[in-house]
Amino acid sequence: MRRLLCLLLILLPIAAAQAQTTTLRGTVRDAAGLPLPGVNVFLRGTFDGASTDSVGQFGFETTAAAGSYVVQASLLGFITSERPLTLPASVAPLSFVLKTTPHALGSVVVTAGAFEASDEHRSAALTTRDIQTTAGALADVAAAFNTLPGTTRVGEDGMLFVRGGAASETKTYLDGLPVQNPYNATVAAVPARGRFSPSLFNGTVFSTGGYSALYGQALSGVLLLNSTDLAPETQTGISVTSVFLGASRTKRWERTSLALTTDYTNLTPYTGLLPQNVRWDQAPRGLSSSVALHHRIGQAGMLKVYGTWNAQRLQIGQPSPEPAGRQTVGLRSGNAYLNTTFRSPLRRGWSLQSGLALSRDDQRVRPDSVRLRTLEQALTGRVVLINDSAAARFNVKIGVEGLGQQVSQTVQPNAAAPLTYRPEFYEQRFTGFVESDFQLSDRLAGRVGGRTEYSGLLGRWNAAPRLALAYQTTDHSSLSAAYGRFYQTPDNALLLTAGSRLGFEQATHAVLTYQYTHAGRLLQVEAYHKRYAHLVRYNGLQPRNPLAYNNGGSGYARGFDVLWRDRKTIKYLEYYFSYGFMDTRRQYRQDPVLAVPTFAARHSVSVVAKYWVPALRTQFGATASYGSPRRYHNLNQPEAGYNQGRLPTYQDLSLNASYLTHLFGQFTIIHLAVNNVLASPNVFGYRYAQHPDVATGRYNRVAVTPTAPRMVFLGMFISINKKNPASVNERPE
Amino acid sequence: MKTTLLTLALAAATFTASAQTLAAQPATATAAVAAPADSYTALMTGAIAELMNTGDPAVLRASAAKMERAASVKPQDWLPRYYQAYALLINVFQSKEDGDAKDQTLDRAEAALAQARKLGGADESELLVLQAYIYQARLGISPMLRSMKYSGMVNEAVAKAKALNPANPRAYLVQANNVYYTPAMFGGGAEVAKPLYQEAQARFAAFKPASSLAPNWGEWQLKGRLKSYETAAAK
Repeated sequence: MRRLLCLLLILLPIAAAQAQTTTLRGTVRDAAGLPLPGVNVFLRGTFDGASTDSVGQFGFETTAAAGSYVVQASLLGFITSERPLTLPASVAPLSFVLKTTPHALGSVVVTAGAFEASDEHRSAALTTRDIQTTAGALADVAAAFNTLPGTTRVGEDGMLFVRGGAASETKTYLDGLPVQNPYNATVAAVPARGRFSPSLFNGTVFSTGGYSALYGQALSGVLLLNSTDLAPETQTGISVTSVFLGASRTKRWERTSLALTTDYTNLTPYTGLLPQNVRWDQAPRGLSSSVALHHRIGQAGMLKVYGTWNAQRLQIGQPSPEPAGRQTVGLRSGNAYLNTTFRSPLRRGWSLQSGLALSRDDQRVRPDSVRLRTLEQALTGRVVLINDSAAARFNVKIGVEGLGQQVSQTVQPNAAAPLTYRPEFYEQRFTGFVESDFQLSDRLAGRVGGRTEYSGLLGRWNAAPRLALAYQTTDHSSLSAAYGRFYQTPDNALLLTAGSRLGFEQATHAVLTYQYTHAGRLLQVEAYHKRYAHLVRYNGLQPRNPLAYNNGGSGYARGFDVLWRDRKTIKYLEYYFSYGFMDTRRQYRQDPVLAVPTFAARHSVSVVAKYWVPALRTQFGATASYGSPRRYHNLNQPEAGYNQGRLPTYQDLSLNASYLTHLFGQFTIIHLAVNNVLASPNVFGYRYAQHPDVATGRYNRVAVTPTAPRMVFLGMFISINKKNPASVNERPE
Repeated sequence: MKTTLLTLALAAATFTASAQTLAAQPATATAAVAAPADSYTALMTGAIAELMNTGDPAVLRASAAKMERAASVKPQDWLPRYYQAYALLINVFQSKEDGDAKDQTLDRAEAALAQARKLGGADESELLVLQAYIYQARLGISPMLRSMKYSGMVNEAVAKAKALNPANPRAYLVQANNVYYTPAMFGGGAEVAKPLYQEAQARFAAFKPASSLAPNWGEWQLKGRLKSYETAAAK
């Protein structure tokens, strides 16, 4: 016994001595056998370890006592590798192989068909600031997106014309809810502006094709506007410009923000000062105001109420081909819109997004002696349930949407005669949709969904499958493809005449996209093919006869779009270049044959640049646009065929400058913008007389041109804020 | 056109001039604290000293790795994760990598900070200060695009940190830095920041760390800043 004790006493120091220092060496490689630098290799439970060098090698000494240990090799993005080790250990090098962690959902993004304006996502084509500062756009969302490929500039209209589709084929969604009247009312040949100010939104997606099953009723594209959650800070804004006066007040509490705005627009002084191409009997003027109340509920819940109200009027005298030489059109309109949305997490990875929107739009148009009043009222509701369990490789979205809509019209062909028509229709539409984003491997992801709609007015239903896949080719590039079928209820004007006789119009999109994005540069190339079917046709000689209407139209559009953006090469310079090639024909409405539509240009080019000069505290912007000749139907050359006339090319150079300064001690921006600086004589089409001239036998015509050779905008925007930003986040009193 | 459209949007652009290069600088105080009670404390003390005495990105990365190893020794202690986040964060200010790489490092810093937050006994006020500091680093990567969002988030996190512990001097320091690097025309700048630095100085003077390992950085950086005010005034 004593001997044993002695033996132990002798052995113990030896064991301790052996534990003094052990050197561990080795290499770490990835699954492909390439060396991995920066891997933290260490003896778990001790401070002893080292990171691998550029050739994946590590070496460190440990003074840990003899015993059993675990050597761990870990690097973010890889599954941690462990192996047991008994100290004292042999000097044999250790080798580790690390496998990449299965990528979480969302690591590969489907880019096909969509342009995003966001400050969050590095792959976004634009930032929210881009929309506000694009020269020529005058802070109009649609005008800014019109500089992206896939759109055609249709100067007389101002809306988004996507890949051979008419303006009505692109729908606007505000916080998930479809907006019935996203543009301010206007008359023919006076471009419309969007109803919503870009400063309301912090994320905007513009899809030019193949979009998700969460959205519908658009044959060509969707514009998804997502409003900012809580206004960042309390402030007051005052705007004094050449065309409007505005005031805003934003108040921020801990969990709530309230923003009120009001704008009074009057172009009378402006149109008096600058040369115009038309006669303004009453220059556009209007009053609009809005209120936005946002309240955070719990950790991630959000309630938003946004209401806007707008009234405007104008009277314009436009050149006319008729003997009178001039046509006078008056407009009075009023619009009210209320959008309420609520989103909140539920249990077990489910969350809820819901919303309700009410709209009322009243337009009275008076072309010469005609009196036309259109009143549209709509109620839309939407509930979406989303399961987004963090660990899952896929998510699920299920939703329903409902629409109740009433449109009525009063048409009085001659103000002097009592004869009036009163067409009207009621529509109830129910929609259900389901969609899943999934990740098949660390490089392959996709989205599959379906949408079904039932229209009470048409008495029909449809089913639209949608599919998208994205493959990450390298760390900086990806290839994605999207396919889908899209349905749309015919336009209100068609429904008013032929309502229940019609069915859904249909389009099928196939899109293939390559995207490269790295270090402030982005290249996106996209090829597409679209087929239209069941487009509404009617006999142009009997526009009021419902029996002359049917869904027999069809068409196609194909082409490719290129976007190159660079924010890096030259300091303070950001620019992008976009080019779209399009080949499209369709036969719809009163087209007698398949023809290139009047709103499609074969080639569209835009170059947008912004340059910040710190010394001048000024940002300069320029946008140059070109559109190849659009078509028109030349009544005096019937032998050439339908829509064979060619307009001159569209050319526009617009400049702007924003100067940042202090006025009355408050932060102020002075903004000067000139559209069409060179006064290029753009022609958007021709108006032909109804009957040929008796003497010559030819139809008289006049060109449809912009309302003015140039547009000049000068504005001053003052933000009255607490002067010291350090105290901005003190709780407001 | 309807609003003060360009207001903050453009304002952001001026931030570019103020690349935030806040060096992590020696805070010798921590290292000098005496009498570590056990080997973990001793090793942590050494590791913290090493971290606080370097501005070298490579050493900062190594430091972050060492803190990760320390977390394996005492998985229930929040401090190794806290210092891991700190080392990664300072690395971003010191390294010459591109924005995407910096963002990824900050993602890791935030992950480590989230791990620290889950552990018992974490000093919430200190975690919030570090979170605010991370937001500042995010802002610095792309001031033109991010200042609007992150400047507010810095202030929010600092305000919460102060509410939890009004004596935390680092909350005042990070806040002062935020103001210092905000262009004068937006109400920031050296002069506006000066009283805030002075307040931070008073808070540092009164500050006693909770333990020998508890966060105690920032005073050296503050002294450097105050000194630069003196030199500027002397000219």
